[in-house]
Amino acid sequence: MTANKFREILEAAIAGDQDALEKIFRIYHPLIVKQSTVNGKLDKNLMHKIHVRIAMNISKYRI
Amino acid sequence: MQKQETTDEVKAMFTAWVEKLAHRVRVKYLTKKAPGPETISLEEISESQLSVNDLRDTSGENIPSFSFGDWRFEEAFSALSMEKQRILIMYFVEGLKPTEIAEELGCTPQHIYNQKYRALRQIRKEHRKRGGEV
Repeated sequence: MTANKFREILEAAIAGDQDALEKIFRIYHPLIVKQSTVNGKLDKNLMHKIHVRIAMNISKYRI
Repeated sequence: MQKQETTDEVKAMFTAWVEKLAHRVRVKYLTKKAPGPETISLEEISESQLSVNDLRDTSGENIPSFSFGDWRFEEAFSALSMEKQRILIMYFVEGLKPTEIAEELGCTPQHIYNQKYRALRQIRKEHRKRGGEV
């Protein structure tokens, strides 16, 4: 994915586009999995909380 | 070229934002999941359980009874925190070693030594305040 394409997706996600937000989640999946791993196991509750927090706050993000 | 660099910067900034946000959620989640030692509110404890003379160990047997002899000591002892009272009783009445007390209360032996020292100092001070001589 080109950097310009990423910017487009990010702008769309900030504007409230659900598909763009889903793409952002897919791009950052490894990072989210890393933060959701507790004692070597994936904690799905924690993963869900991280997803929710990103979805709730992305509209406040300024490029 | 210039635009490409700017967009890379945007991605890097957003990645840092996501990482920071996810880390905060993780810390908050793990703190909630693993609260400190189990506590019990004072309202749930009856007066008889709080009484020093009626202390029982976990096996249900009475601990050796003791008398202060001097009312000033009794009052000074009552002024101590519950933790300090428990440590003094375990040390002087039950005859446990600081390492054993630490094991039972879930803290370090050094903490027991410190608490014992402070408790005795506080008792001496309170005793003197009431006109006693130590």
